Amino acid sequence: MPSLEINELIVLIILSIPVAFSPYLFKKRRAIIKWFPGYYSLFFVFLSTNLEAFVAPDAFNFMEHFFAMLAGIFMCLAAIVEMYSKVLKGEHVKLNYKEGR
Amino acid sequence: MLAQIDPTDFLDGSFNLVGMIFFIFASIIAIYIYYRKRTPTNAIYVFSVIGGMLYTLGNLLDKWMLWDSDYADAFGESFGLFIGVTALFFAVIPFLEQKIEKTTEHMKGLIEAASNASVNVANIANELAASASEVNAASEEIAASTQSMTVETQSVIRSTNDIQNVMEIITKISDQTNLLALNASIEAGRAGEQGRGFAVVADEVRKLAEESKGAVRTTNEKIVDVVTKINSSFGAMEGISASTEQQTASMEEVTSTAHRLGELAENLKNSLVIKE
Repeated sequence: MPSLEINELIVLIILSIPVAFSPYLFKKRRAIIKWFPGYYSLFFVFLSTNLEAFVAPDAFNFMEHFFAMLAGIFMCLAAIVEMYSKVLKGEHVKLNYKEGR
Repeated sequence: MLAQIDPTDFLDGSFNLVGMIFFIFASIIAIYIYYRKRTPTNAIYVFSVIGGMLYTLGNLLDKWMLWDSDYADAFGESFGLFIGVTALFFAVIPFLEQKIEKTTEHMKGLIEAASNASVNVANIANELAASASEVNAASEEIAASTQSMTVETQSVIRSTNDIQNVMEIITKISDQTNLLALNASIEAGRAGEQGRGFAVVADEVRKLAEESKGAVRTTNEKIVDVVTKINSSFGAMEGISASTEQQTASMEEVTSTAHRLGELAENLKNSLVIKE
């Protein structure tokens, strides 16, 4: 069974901050929502790699690398959507706040 | 070499390879987006996908044993940490950017208001300059009229002086007439009875001469009174002329100040133009 790596634990803790605040972040700025599947996947990569030190190492190892692949796919999709909305359509960043708030 | 790899590691490496390929595409697109719109948020996207690409590369090298396992593992972990840090920035920077955009919008509003105010000031200054120019023109007309009146008054004073001279001549003539009438009375007295009628005529002539002298004296007094009044008016007109000149000078200063104010407002408006 692989041992717990302190670096991976630190990354998991750091990644859990944007993930934990994601509902608030979505509410404040919807434009960044497209990048979050990628960040969630990366969070699950590091969650799996930390959990494999305790339970079901094979399953969590599989999940770690599977989520790494998903993170790449989601980040690529997010980049394509971002390019389409910001560059190809020529739209500026749309702010999701109401005046006077 | 791949044949020696454990099938599970091979599958894990394959997942990382696919992920890395997508991360490479994402990196290219994110760099392009950043090239087109250089914002901190877009830079964070670039760092995130490059971090992901290098993390999956590290795992791939480790699982497929393409590099020393310890190095590949350390490489992957380093970029895992890098991803974590960029994720943290990702949660903060878009909001900082949003705050900056809000502040920029607010500043734009303020600058626009100041620009409009400076346009109004420029318009008011132009109106003030135009009004001052009109007042100036009116003052110049008054000054010209006063000057003309002064010349006319001087002419009237000269005419009255001429009249006074004529009056002096008439006084002298009446004095001479009086003297002649006196001599005629003396000569009539010397002629005796025959000169009595002549003496009456000489006496009447003397009385007329006295009356003429009295009339000339009265006329002279009136003329002196008129000249005094004209001189008084002349002084008042000189006062008006001086005041008008002063007013013209003041109005020129007002016009100049208004023009300067207009130029300042124009410069302010130009300096407040928002460059998009």
